[in-house]
Amino acid sequence: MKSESTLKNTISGSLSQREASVFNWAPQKQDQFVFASMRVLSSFVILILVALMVMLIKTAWPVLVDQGTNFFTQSIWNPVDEEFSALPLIYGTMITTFIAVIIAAPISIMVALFVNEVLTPKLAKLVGLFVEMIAAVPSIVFGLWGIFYLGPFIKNTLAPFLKEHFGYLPLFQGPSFGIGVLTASLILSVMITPTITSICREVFKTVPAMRKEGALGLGATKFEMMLLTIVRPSFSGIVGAIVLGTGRALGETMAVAMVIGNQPQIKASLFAPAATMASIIANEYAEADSEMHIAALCGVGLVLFVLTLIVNLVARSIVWNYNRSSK
Amino acid sequence: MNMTSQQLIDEILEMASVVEAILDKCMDMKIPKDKLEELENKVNQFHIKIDDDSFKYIALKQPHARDLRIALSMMKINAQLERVADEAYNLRRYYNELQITPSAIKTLHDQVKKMIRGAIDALVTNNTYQATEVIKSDRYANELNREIMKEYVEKMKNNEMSFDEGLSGIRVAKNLERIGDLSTNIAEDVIFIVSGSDIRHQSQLKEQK
Amino acid sequence: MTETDNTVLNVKNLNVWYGDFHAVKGISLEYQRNTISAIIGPSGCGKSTYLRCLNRIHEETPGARAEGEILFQGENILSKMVDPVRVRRSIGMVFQKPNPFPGMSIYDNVVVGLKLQGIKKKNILMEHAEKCLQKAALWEEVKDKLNRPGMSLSGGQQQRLCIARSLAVSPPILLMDEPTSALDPIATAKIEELMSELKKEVTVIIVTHNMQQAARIADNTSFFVLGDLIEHGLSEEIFTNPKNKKTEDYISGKFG
Repeated sequence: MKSESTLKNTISGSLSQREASVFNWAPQKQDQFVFASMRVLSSFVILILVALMVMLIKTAWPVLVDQGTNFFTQSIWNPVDEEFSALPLIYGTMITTFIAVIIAAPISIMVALFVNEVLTPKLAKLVGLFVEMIAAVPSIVFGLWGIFYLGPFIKNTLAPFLKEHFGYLPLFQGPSFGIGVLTASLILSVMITPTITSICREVFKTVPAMRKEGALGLGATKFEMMLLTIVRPSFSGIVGAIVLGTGRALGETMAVAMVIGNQPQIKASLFAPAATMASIIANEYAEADSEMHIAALCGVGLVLFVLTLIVNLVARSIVWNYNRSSK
Repeated sequence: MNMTSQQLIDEILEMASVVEAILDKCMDMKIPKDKLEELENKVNQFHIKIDDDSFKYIALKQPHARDLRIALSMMKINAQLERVADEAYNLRRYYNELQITPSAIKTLHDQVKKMIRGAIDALVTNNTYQATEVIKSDRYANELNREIMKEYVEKMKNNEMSFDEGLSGIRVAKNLERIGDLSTNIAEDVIFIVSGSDIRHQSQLKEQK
Repeated sequence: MTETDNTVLNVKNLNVWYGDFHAVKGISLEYQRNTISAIIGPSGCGKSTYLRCLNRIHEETPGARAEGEILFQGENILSKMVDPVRVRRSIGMVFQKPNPFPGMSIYDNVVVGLKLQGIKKKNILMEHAEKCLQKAALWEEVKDKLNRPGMSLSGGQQQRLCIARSLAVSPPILLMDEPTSALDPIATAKIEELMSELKKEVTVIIVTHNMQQAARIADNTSFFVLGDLIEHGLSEEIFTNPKNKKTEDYISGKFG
């Protein structure tokens, strides 16, 4: 037919005649298929997140209905008497995360500065690799180390030392059995150091050499140069790194569960055992059979979920803004 | 080196005032020879210095457009002024031989003094009109020179004047006429600086009515 | 050349290596007080390397090694016994690209060197800031906006800010490594203008890849090729009648 031959002679006509590489389809159809599948998969991922939240709310519904806001403000967690309130767990998560970040942040920043600025390139690579390998260690291995080495160390050496010198503080009173808030916090600080350090290193690397030389050229010492040209301008990047580390610490489960002592309580002493939102779920999910118990655990899971979501969003927006402003 | 084109011009003006002094005094026998020699030495020093300064100015400051025209022209005006001083200084010897001075020689002297002053003024005020007037008036200087020559040749033919005196008179007039030519050259250079046009060898200008 | 009372810096047989690469080969030069000395030469000839040794900032490049003597105020500043921080307080540096400290205001940028030396009194800092901004021909343009960020200025202004910043600690010597190569012609002209005022107080050593710039502003010029000092002398002589054929060829644009 005449129209067919004229179609063949146009460009679009020749395209549709071409062999498609996928399924022997025409190129436009190929494109359509690929983009459609991408849309489906992306929606799927979003749906999972939403579904997760819905499931948590649904399962936690009984305890929320039963206790209302008391779930978040009372401080008894007693499965036997079916009294559940999340506050001790929220406290446990907060205090361990807080102490972990306070210890890890300055150390991570200094390690990042040291590796980037002081070590020779070869050594920097090596040491940097070692630091990042810490992140590769499974959480449970840290837990084992905590039970068998860190715990006894704290009980036998660190706690007596702290009691002797700072025993007047309520933080360091009471007996230490090796497990508890302090142990969990120390392990967490080790675990989040690689996160903070590697992000800080990336942020610090963006400072151009000429700016650093500019500071040195004015007669600054190396440390003054680091403060002036690296730390000060990268401040929001550093904050972003710390917040990301915080997000990790909040959700860390296995290592904490093994050394926190699993006693949902709010005590002033760092030597006291406690429980975090993550650890309570890990420690009690196997034995929870009453509907209320399961609901309570899901309620705690919901709080944890929302909290880590918020913290991660905040961290990302800080880091994103920092990247934008430094361009 | 912090030279500017204006400084080069200022140096030329200083040199010009010494040259004009020599031209003024060259026919005044009351002034002793060594005074004139002193002035002539000053001119020679300027001659060397201005060329050297212009050269360094061009090499170091990379002037363009007007500044470049100035630098190049100052080197040329430098040479012309030095020759004016030479001609003026040298005509004194011949002037000494003359028993009487014909008024024409005095007129020619005044004329070329005017011309050189005019050319230098034109340089100071960037006045191409004045420069053109200088160029036009060269005709008059040439006429005066021809007149003097004619008169002296006539007198020598009629034995009214000795050959020595006659030839000296012609010499004096010739030197003065050359000074007029050199003033014209300076005026042409001024026009080059101001307008960028090279008007040399254009006969219309010189023979304009 | 024997050292005179007017010599402020005396470089003796300076050799620099980057690993195995011999970048600066046995160069000796003297610098007189209150002069501008330029270093010209084709790219890769070691001029920046040489300059960076004069305030020991070459040590920031891994693998750089310098031997020889650099005599300043009676001591060899290249020696390991001398603290580079102290050297850099007396020998300042302005870099190729303007590099004001981001996140700091114009005022903070100017006084940062003074603060590093422990000067804290606000009126002293302010006085110094004004003086140095005037010397850098920037005061009129920024006096009403000293609290604006340093990065908000144009490229040429930023470079003048860096000059003011270096001047604040009153160094007797100022090193400049191609300070106008990243700037437009007008900004360049402004900085060249302020150099002739600057040299009344400071001795300037400037590396420039633009030899016309050296001809315009420098009293003395040194010509380097591949790490060797080919010729040095008054700019007047180098640019009108150089003694070495290589110099003549370079200046006439025949190579490099």
